[in-house]
Amino acid sequence: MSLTLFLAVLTLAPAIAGLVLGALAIARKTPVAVTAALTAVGALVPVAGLLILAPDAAFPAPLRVTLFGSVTAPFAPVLRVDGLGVFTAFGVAVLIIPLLVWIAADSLRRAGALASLAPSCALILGIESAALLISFADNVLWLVFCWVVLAALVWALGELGTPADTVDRVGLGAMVAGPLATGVVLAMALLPARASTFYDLAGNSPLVAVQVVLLALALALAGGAYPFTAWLRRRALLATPAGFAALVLVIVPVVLFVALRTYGALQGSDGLWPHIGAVKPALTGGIALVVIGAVTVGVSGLLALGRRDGRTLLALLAAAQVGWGLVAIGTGQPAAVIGAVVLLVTVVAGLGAMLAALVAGGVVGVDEEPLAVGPRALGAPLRPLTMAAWCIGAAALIGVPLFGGFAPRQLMTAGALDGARLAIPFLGLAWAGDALLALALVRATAPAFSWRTAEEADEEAVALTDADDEDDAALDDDEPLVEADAVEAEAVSEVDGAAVDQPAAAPRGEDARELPGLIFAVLALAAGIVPQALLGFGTLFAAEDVLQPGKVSQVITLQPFGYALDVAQWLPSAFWIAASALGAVALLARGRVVRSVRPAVTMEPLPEPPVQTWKELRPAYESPFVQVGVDALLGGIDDAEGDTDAESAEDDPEDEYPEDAELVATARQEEPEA
Amino acid sequence: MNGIAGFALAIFIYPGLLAALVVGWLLFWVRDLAHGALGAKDVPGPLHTVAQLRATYQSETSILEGMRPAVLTVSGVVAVVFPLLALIFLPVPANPLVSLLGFAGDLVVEAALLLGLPLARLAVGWATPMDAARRAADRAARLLAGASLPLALALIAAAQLSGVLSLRSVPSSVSVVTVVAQVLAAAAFACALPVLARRFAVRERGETHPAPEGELAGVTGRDLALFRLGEVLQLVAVCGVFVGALILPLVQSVPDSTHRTLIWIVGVVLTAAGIGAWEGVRGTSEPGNERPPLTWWLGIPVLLALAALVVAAWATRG
Repeated sequence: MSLTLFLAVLTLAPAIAGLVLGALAIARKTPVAVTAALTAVGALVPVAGLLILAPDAAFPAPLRVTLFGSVTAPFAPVLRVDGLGVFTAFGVAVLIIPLLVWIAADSLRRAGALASLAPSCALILGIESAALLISFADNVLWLVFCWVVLAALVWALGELGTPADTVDRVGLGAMVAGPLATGVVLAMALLPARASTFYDLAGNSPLVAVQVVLLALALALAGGAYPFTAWLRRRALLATPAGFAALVLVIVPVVLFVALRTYGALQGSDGLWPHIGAVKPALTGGIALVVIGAVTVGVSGLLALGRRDGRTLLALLAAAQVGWGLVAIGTGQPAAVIGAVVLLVTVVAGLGAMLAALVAGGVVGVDEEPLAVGPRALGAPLRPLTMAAWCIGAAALIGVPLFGGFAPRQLMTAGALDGARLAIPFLGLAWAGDALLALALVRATAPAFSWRTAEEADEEAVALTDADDEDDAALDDDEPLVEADAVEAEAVSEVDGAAVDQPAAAPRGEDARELPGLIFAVLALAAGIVPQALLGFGTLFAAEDVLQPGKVSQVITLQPFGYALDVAQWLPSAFWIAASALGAVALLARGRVVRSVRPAVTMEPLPEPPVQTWKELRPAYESPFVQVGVDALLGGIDDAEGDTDAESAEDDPEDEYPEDAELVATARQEEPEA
Repeated sequence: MNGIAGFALAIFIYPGLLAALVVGWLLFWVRDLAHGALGAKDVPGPLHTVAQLRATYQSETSILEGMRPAVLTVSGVVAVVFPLLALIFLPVPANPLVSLLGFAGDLVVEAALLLGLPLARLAVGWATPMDAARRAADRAARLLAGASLPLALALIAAAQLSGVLSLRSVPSSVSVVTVVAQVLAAAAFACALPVLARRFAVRERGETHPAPEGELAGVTGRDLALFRLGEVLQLVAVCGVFVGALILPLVQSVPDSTHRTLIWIVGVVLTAAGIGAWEGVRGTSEPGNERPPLTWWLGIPVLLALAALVVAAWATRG
């Protein structure tokens, strides 16, 4: 089989399967078995093809073919097989698409509409083909075309079931505007160079610094970075679960990929973006990417403080990842670019884990969604594995040390130290943004551990033992237990004055639903424990296609416990060993705990809305420079809790800083007699 | 030294668990001394912290109805482990890990690990079904949010000056501008020290049944003891990172290892004393103003950090 035919089958098989499925869906002849079979075929063919293709990506120069037309034509499906393309395609075929299919199926099954799975699967297969074509695209205009198609398909997936007269046309326009804008900017580079492909552009880029600034804005628009985050939040709120998943799991990584591919083609012979003037140290157009990226992370953290709904938090997290990617590409330094490639993995793993947790918890669905705390709907039982997946995914996305997202950020920071010094302060802003995201996520998640459903209270009516001890019967006979009064936990029926729909408690036997989130969480955790394995298993190989020849091995050295750079070192495996040993000692020192139960002093499952906590930030939340385009794109869509409602924001001055005495008195009243 | 033995030595003896506990006990006492001296309070004895910890450990361990034990367990372990990790991987004098792994610390890692205990406390506060604890957690979150920006900018300025992320390198050239930038960065970081090293207040009913206030108001017994232990270790870690990352570069012309060790010790003790002094001074202010508003952080601390960045950029312009 020729390489051309092979690539055609690999990239177009999902689309063909999707078209067949779509036609059957229109003809209303899509039993679930047929849908599953066609989807499986369409999804597995690329996986098999990639396994066969992977060794061929090791050539020093990429293999290039055209599906039809001439390689030199301005617009032709010219494909290239290289490390970065194969690496990205694997992520699409092995990780993203199966998760999208599962999310679509699970959300429809919960709504009792599994019979209408076919259109979703058809669109997902189309998305897979578009994403694979982007991964292998070498012709710039062909990449832009596929990108526009991808954006449209993701939009359509999010609009399934929406009446035609109420579809979100504004959202569609916003989603395709970014790819089109990027195409326009890239065309500015193609025309003077008389080139049509990234391969031809490499080393011949005529871009000037101003055009790099335009490129930065175009990529920001495409990825929902500042100042264009509003469209990402809009689509996150309006889309179906599968559409929402595709938005964050496909669109965001594609933007990062295109940024990498673009940098690889447009960098100068010194590996940097076009210079600005002749200042020393050198200042390049990449500073625009750094500024936009860092501000995106900072603003995302700021906005996340005032939110606790899962969709908005995930949208802001996704925007922050785009921000970090832009920072990395903007520095133009090898270590940072390697970090951007690693970021592709950790973004998919982290967002996938959190998304899967939301779906497994029934928080994100086709029907009206319940009020929730993180992935736990109010009134639903606590699912430990789902909560673990959510927490691990979140830790990976905000750069907690020991978890997956830290390594790319550390690489980017180290890279920035090597490059333009002007970029360094913006790294501080980005790190501060991640700290704010951490605060927002902890506040949005922690209350999930503060109440029990009536069912759980009945099951655990005796005094609590240590959470690690599964055997409730093995109680310490020497310690008298204070049994809880036989009080049934009040069902959560009202929150902030609004009635809460009581979701049906999920049967205990649905643990399989937690599996996808767990898989992605394990991947995110593994990326944190052994990033050297991730680097050695494809990441550095992919980065070599973006950087100058030989740069990767000059910059980074893999070690048994981690990796080392010229300016930094990270040994997470050693940290994990130490953490495990110390954690065991801490638990031993605490000893076996037998806890008596005290009556709760509040039955409110949630703290007050976060926007009340951050009253001092109200000017920031109301500023049109922080929430750019919010009125136009989110007016009437976003939840009132996230807005600075005039009435709810009325401050009682005495309440703002309660005196110590008042706090102590309140606590004493609330604490029961010993 | 055998690798495994060296690793175990570093984790459990020095600069790990044992050394950290001893140093933490000393620093907590120094902090209490300074607090008492400036706060016009009775100066506690050297064993006060140990007695309080013991009393807490021996008191009844209970949990509020509905609250999950797992959040107390995990948060308590995080509260102890993260500061210890920050200490173990600091390039303090004679740290076996430095020679064993060649690891010279990392500014970003250290800063992120120092945030572990504060975030763990906040998680417990928000997970506690008690309005007072949740409100206290909200206030503490504002403190932490305000401190995060000067903290991040100060450490980035330090990294810019040294040109690396590790803590052991020495700048190739030192000038007045470099020293000024380092001092500004240290001052900005110092603004965040009381937040990072914040400890929960305790209502004393004799030496028995100490009951916390703030976001840990719902935590008792052994769970609470774990958090107090974490705070002891956090104090050591915070002082160690401050000295290692921001003070030592100011005296990097001292080549003698004995003198550098002395600087470490004196620096750590003075930092703990400074934190205690700050707490003593703040304690005499009007009740109700115990927590500076969020906007305060956007004033002097951020100004210091920005100034450090500007001067650092000037110093390293090449």
